[in-house]
Amino acid sequence: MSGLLLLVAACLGVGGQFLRRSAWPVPRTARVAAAFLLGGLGVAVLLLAASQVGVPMRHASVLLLGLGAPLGLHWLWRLRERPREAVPGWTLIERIGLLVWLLMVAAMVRNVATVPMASVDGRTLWWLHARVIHAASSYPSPEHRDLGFPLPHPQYPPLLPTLEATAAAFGPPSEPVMRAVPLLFYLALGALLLAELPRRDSRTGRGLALAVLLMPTLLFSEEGGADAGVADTMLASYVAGSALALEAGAVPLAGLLAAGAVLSKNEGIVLGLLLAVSAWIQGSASRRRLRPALTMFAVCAAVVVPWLLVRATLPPGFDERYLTRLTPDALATGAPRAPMVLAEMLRIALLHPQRSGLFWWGMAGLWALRQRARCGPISDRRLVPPAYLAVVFLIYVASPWKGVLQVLLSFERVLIHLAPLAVLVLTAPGPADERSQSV
Amino acid sequence: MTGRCERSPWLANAWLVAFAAPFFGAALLSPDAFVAVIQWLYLRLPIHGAVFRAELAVQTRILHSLCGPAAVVATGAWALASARGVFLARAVTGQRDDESASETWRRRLVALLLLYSIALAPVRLVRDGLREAELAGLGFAERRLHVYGRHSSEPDYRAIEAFQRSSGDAGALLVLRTGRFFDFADGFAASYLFPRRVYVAHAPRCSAAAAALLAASRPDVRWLQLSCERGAFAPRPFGSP
Repeated sequence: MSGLLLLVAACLGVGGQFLRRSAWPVPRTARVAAAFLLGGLGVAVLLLAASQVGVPMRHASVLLLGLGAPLGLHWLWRLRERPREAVPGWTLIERIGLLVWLLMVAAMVRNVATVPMASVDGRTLWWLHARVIHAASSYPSPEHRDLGFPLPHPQYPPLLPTLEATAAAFGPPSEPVMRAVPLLFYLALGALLLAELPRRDSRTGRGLALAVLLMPTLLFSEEGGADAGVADTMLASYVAGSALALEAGAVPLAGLLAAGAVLSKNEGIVLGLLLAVSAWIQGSASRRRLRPALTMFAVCAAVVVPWLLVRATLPPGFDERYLTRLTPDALATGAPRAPMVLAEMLRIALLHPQRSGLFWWGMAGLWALRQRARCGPISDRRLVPPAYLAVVFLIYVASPWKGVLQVLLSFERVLIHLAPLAVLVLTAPGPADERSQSV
Repeated sequence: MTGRCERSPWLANAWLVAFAAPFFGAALLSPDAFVAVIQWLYLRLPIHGAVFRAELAVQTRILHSLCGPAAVVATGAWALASARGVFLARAVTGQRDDESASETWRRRLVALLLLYSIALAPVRLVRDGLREAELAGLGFAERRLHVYGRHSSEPDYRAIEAFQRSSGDAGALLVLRTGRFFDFADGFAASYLFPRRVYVAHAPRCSAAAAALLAASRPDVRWLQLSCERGAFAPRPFGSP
C-alpha cells in the first residue's frame, strides 16, 4: 500500500514539473488529474529507460519514488496558492449523480481491495505482464522473450504493467495494490471531466461528465469496467487529456498525453495518430496549420519510437496483429460478414441496456439539438470518433476470430475509449457561444 | 420550486410515470419470466459459462423484488409533486426561464442519461452485496476459486489449486501439447500458478518420454503435465527435487 501512495505522489511530482510552465489546465482538480496522467507516463518512461541501460527497475523505482514523492507533496502544497475558479452551481440531478458516482467508486475500491479479479484479460494479460516485470525487475522480462512461457501478447504496451509493478516495488506483487492502478486512472478521468466540462458548457457539461463516468459498462462490466484491472479507462483518460490539452493550445503536453495513449493500449496508436491529424485542422478548413500537428507528432514519437524499437525485438507470441491484417485480401475475405459486424456494433452501442445504456442515443440527440440551434460543434476533434470507428470496423471485418465474436468481446471497450471524446466534441464552444462571449 | 409553465403540473410531470412504467411492467412479470428476459438481453457472449448464468439469475430475482417499490415511489413522487404544483423537470435540471427550447431539451436529455445510470446503480450494489456474502470468511485462495471460472474456456481451478497446495513452492511445470501453439488453458494456469513458471512445449506425440526430453532443456522444471490426459490436471514429478 505504501508503494501505491508513493507512486501517486511521485506521479504528481513528475507531472507537476511538466505543468509548471503551462497555463493548462486551469481548475485545480483538473490540474491534479493532468499532473497524474503526465507523471504516470513520466515515471513509467524513466523506469523503462533505466531498465534498458541495465538498472534493475526495483532499484530505480525506489530512487524515483523516494525523490518524486516529496516533490509531489510540495507541488500539491503550492497548488493551494492558485486562485479558485468560479464554477456553475450544481443542479439537483447533478448532485444526485455525483453522490451515486461516489457510492460506485466506494464499491469499486472495496471490490478491488477484497474480491479477486474476475476479468480474464485483467488476470492473464495485464496482471501477468506486471508480475513478470516485477519478478524480473526489468522490461522486457525473460518471459517476454520466452516463446515457451504462455504470456499472451508479449508485444502489448507496457505502461500499465510497469506502473503496477512500481506500485508493488516495496513488497510482493499484491493483487489489490496493482489492480488499484487502473482505477486511479478512472478517477483521474473523472476529475478531469468534472472540472473541465462545466467550463466548456455551463449548462450540461457537468451532467455529461457524470454520464460518462456512470456509463453502465464502466460500472458493471467485469471485463472492461473501471475496476476490472484492464487498461481501457487508462487509454480513455490519456485520450481525453490529449484532446483537452490540444484545444487549450498546450500542444507539447497534448503530444505527451497522446504518447500515454499509445503506451496504454494498441488502440492508442490509432487514436494518437488521429488526434495529431486533428491538430492540423484548427477550427475551420481556412485556418489549417501544419505546425501544431507536427509538434504533437514529434513529441509523441520521441516517447513512443524507442519503445517500438524494443518491441520489434520481442516475439509476437499469441497476438492477432490486427493492424497488419488490414490488407485488401483480408478485407475481401471478411467482406461477407461486414453487415453482421455493423449490426452487432450498432446493437452493442444502442440496444444493450447494461452496456452503453442510453448514452449513445443521448449523444445523437445532443448532436441533433446542436445542429438545430445552428451552433454546431466546431471542435477539431469531431472527426476522430467516426474515423476511429471506421478503423475498428475494418479490423473486425478482417479479424481472424469467427463471425462477430471479436465485436462481442471488445466493442463495448472501444466505446469506453470514445465516450470522453464524444462529450468533448459536444461541449466544444460553438459560434453562438463565441459571439455571446465577445459581447 | 414552481415554474411558470402554463401546462398542468400533472401533465408536465408525466415523464416520471413514463419512467416508472418499465418498473411496473417488470414487477408484473413473474420472477422466472423476468430472469428469462434479462438473460436474453445480457447473455450474448458465448464465453458466459454456467457459473455466470446462475449468479446472474440470483441477482435478477433480487432486483425483480425492487422493481415494484421503485415504480410505486416514482408514481408517488409524480402525484405528490403535481398536487403541490411543482414542475419536477425544472427542479431537477435547473432549467431557467430565459433559456431557449433547444437548451432546455439539452438539459433534459442529459438529465435522462443520468437518471438512467442512477436507476441502474442498485444492480451493482446487489451484485457486490451477494458476492460479499458468498466470500465472507474465506481466504484469498478460496475466494479466487469462487470468483474465477466465468470464461467458458477456463480450466478447473480446483485441480490447479490442489496441485499448488500439494507440490509446495518449488519447481516449474512443463505442459506438453500436440495441438496448436497457444491454448488458453495454459495462459490461465500460468497466471494462476505464478510465480511458479509454467512452460508449454510441443511434440508430435504426447508421451512421457517426449516430455522428459523437452523438460531437460529447462533446468527448473520439476513437474510434467501431458495435455493428452484430457480432463485431469495432475502433473507428475520430474527429475530430482
